[in-house]
Order: sequence, then C-alpha cells, then structure tokens
Amino acid sequence: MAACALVVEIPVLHKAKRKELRRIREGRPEVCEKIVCQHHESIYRFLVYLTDGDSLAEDLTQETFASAWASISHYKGRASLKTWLHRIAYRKFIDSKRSLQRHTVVIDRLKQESAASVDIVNPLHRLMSDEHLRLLYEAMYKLQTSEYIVIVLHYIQGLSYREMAQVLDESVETTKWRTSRAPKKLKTFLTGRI
Amino acid sequence: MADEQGAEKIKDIFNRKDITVAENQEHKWATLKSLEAHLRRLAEIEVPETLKAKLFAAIPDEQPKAGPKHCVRWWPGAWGFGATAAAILVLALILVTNYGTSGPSRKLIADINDKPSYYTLADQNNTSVGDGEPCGLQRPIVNLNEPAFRY
Repeated sequence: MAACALVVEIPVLHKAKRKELRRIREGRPEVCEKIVCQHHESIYRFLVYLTDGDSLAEDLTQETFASAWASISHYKGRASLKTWLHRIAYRKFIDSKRSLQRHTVVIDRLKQESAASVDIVNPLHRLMSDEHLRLLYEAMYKLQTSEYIVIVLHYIQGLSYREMAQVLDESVETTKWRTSRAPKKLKTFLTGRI
Repeated sequence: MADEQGAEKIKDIFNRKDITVAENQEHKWATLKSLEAHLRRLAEIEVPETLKAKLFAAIPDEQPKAGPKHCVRWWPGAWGFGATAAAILVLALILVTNYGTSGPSRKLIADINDKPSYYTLADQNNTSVGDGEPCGLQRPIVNLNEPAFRY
C-alpha cells in the first residue's frame, strides 16, 4: 500500500512496457494495490466534481475500480491507466445519471429522508470556505456541461488534450477548441461579478 | 452582453483613483493565468479514509480469467495448421488425378483406338474396299444380329 513509487502508465509498448502490461493484465493483487494507490484520489476528485460533491461520488469510485478489476485482462495499454480509469469513471457517471433520471421521484424522496436523518459531508465544502474558490466554482457551474467537464479534466485533473479526447470519446481538435473556449467563458462570468 | 458589462466594470475600476488594494486584487485574479492557478487549487480534495479502506478491500485476491486476447492467441497456429493441411490435400489430389490414374486411362484410350468396340463386317471378314484399305471407320456397318440391337 505504501509503495506508490512504481509508475504503471503504459503509453508505448516497448519490451519492458510490454512486460509491465502483462503484469497488469494478470491482475495481481500487488499491482492492483499500486493502481489504487496512484489513481484513487484523482478518480474520486473527478467524480466529486461530476456529481457536485454528492455522496454518489464514493459509490461511483468504488464501481469504477470494481469494473477496472473485472476488465483488467482486456486492458490493451493504448491509453494510460489514468485515462482508462477516467474513461470508466465517466461512463459510470453517465450511466448513473441516466438511471437517476429514470427514478427521479424515488430518489428525491430518499434524498429528503436521508438529509433529515444523516448529515452528509460534502467534500467541496472545505474548498468553498475560500471566497475566490467559491466564486470560481459558482462560475464553473454556469458553464455548459461539456465545458464544465473540459475544465475539470484539463485544469483540475491535469489531463492532456489527447487523454481528454480518449475519455470523452471525441476528436482531439474538438477537445482543444472546447478547452480554449471554456476558460474565456469562465472569465466572462467572473468579471461580470466585479 | 455580460462580457461587455464586465469589461466596463473593469475599466471603471482601472480609471478610479481611489481603488482599494482589495478591489485591485479582486479583478486581478480573474485573468486567464491566475484563473488556471486558482483552478488547480480546486484539486485539493481529500479522499475519505472509509473510501480508501473500501477500495483496498475490494482488490481481488484471485487473478481474473484470461480475456479474449489471451484465448485468441492459439488461433493463428490453428489457422496455419489448417491452411497447411488443406494445401497438402489439394496437392495430393492434383498428383493423384494427373499421374495416379493417367497410365491405365491412356492405355484404355489406346485400346479403344486400336480395337474399336464395334467392327465393320468388312473388318471382321478381313476384307477391303476399293484400294484395299480397311473401311471400318469410313463405312460403319452395324451387325444387327448382336444381342444389343435385337430390341
């Protein structure tokens, strides 16, 4: 658990990398531990921003890693593990959003009940205590969903254009264009506040 | 529209002489560079310990079954074996049809040419027509007394 130093990202299939890829595909517990160690924070953070700090982020993070273990033998190494996991997480979020839309009435009632009984801590609350970050997050929230995701992936998660394109299943050009447009729009919302 | 309003407000702030340090700081942070820096600060989210424990506990002890990539690997060998076997079979068939049965069949054809299955009466009687050449092929005469022609 403590040994997080090993880099398990495999963008190019050199001989050594191929060996590493084989180890990942075998799904050995020690390799899985390293993957969790390296990527759990990033995946959780991504899902927190997608779900607006909802407790659903925790469930989706668990589901993401469960799916990853189930299909680790299919991992081809074309994308880095980080991108691969982000892609799974994004799919999980889309699926959950669809099912939430289907069961909106039931979910709303459950939320009201749970809010009354359990005090759920939003992981974004701590950040929102900073005035600038709160304003920034509010401005981000005004963006379109596609722009919001691009901001999260590029500026918060640190993914490259190519990696983002792989996660969102888009062309690199589209992602680049959206990434260049989103901060300008964000700035517009922010300067509008002054 | 919002952009224009924002720009106007920023201009107003710049033109004011009595701009306070706080206000100056406030509009400065909205530049693109500082925006990126602030966005990076949004990455500071802590993962709950319970979630960490759950994730580590969910790591499978057993190795997963080999995916189709592993299973498919024997297919090239099977394809190669199949193709080789088919090629050998075709070659064998060609050899058999060309050489295996060629001797007897040629012989048979030669036999037919040498000894036709039907003879003219003139051939049978060892007679000749005109200049003494056998006339079997020129004037075939069917012997109607043969059993095949009785019906």
